[in-house]
Amino acid sequence: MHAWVIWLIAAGILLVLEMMTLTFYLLWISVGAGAAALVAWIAPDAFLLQVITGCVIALVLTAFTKPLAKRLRASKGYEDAGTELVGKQGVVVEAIEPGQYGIVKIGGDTWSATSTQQIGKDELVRVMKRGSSIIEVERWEEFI
Amino acid sequence: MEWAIIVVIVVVVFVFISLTVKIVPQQRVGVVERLGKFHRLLTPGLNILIPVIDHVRVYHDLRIQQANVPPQTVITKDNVQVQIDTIIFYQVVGPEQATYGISDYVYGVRNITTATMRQIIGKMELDETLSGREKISSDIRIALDEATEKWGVRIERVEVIDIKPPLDIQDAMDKQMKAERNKRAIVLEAEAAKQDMILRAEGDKQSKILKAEGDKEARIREAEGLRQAQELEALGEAKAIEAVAAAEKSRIQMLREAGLDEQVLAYRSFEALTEVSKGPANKVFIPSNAIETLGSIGAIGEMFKNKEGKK
Repeated sequence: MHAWVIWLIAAGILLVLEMMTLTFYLLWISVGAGAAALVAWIAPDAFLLQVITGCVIALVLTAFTKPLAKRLRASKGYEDAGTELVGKQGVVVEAIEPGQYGIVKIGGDTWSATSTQQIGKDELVRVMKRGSSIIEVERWEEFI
Repeated sequence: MEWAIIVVIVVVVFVFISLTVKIVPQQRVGVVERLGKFHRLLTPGLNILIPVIDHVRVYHDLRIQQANVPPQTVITKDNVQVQIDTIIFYQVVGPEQATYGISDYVYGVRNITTATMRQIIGKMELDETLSGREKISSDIRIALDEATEKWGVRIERVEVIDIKPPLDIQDAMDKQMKAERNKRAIVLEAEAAKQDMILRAEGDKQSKILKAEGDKEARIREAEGLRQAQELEALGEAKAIEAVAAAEKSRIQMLREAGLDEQVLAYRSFEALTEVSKGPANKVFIPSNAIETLGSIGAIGEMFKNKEGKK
């Protein structure tokens, strides 16, 4: 069997694996194997040259992934409901006293909340900042 | 020899490239350390790392996770041991803190929840715990948030799946429930009887009233009929008398117009006498003073004349 056929088979298998797993780097190696097959067709006996060509092509392509990644990054993905909490309106369920935590209901979720002011029950608040599980709120009217 | 070099090169390139290109799926986040120090977060999408220098320490799943807490024995305020079964919903919100703040946040979440639950249930009576799930979850909220703020984990909610009191208490509760239902049944029965009696009496009363009213109206109508009939009768009689009187009057008038005088009267009275004598009795006794009466008729005629003279 000719060397270039083996290279092509390797390229095909890698491509199929890439399609099944979606890891992206197998795609570059597959392209590298394709390039090696091309070299093998021209110089069938220089095995080392074929391997090195394939590897270099794969590495160069990998280096070019970065701009591609940057471009893909701009597209919008799924936004978690929690991430855009700041600026939302909530209702105080349990009164907030300075230095102590109260409970604020935002949408369907309850959050522990702190504030510099004292805010009574059933008052409307705006979310100022969000920690991992505690939010900072202020009275709603003060923004209008 | 050449083969060994080829294999080594291929393996090195494979590993190198696989370490460089990282695809992170949605809602997962990787924590990248550069030479052992925290460097950045791997966000969803295509990412490029520098192999050897950069190292992904751990991947976090950002979706809400569930953790079942095995049934715990908790003592309530009134010293009843209850088995409480909870489920915790939590979410990693700060991947850095979840990596460096706590060694195993799942274990930590589980432990802090059971401890807090124990503390809260310990302040409640048995009956409160059975009905106050809402209160339990709101009480637990603050205590948990305070603890987990540093862990980068938010406990979404703690749900009490099951509270099992001990068997003898459950038995007593069953009995209480049964007694309560029995009481309700008896009360309802009594109420029904009361209502039955009231309704019957009311019906009786109404029927009697209606009957009396009917009687009254019938009698009034009867009396009215009688009155109207009598009135009509009297009216008729009066009219009849009037008519008779009018006829008499007109007769007398007509007689007078015809020139009624003594002689005619006398003649008429004699005629009447002969009529009388023609009757079935063949003997007529004329009392002697009747002659005088007849004579006095002449005196009446005199009176008429006088009246006419006065006119």
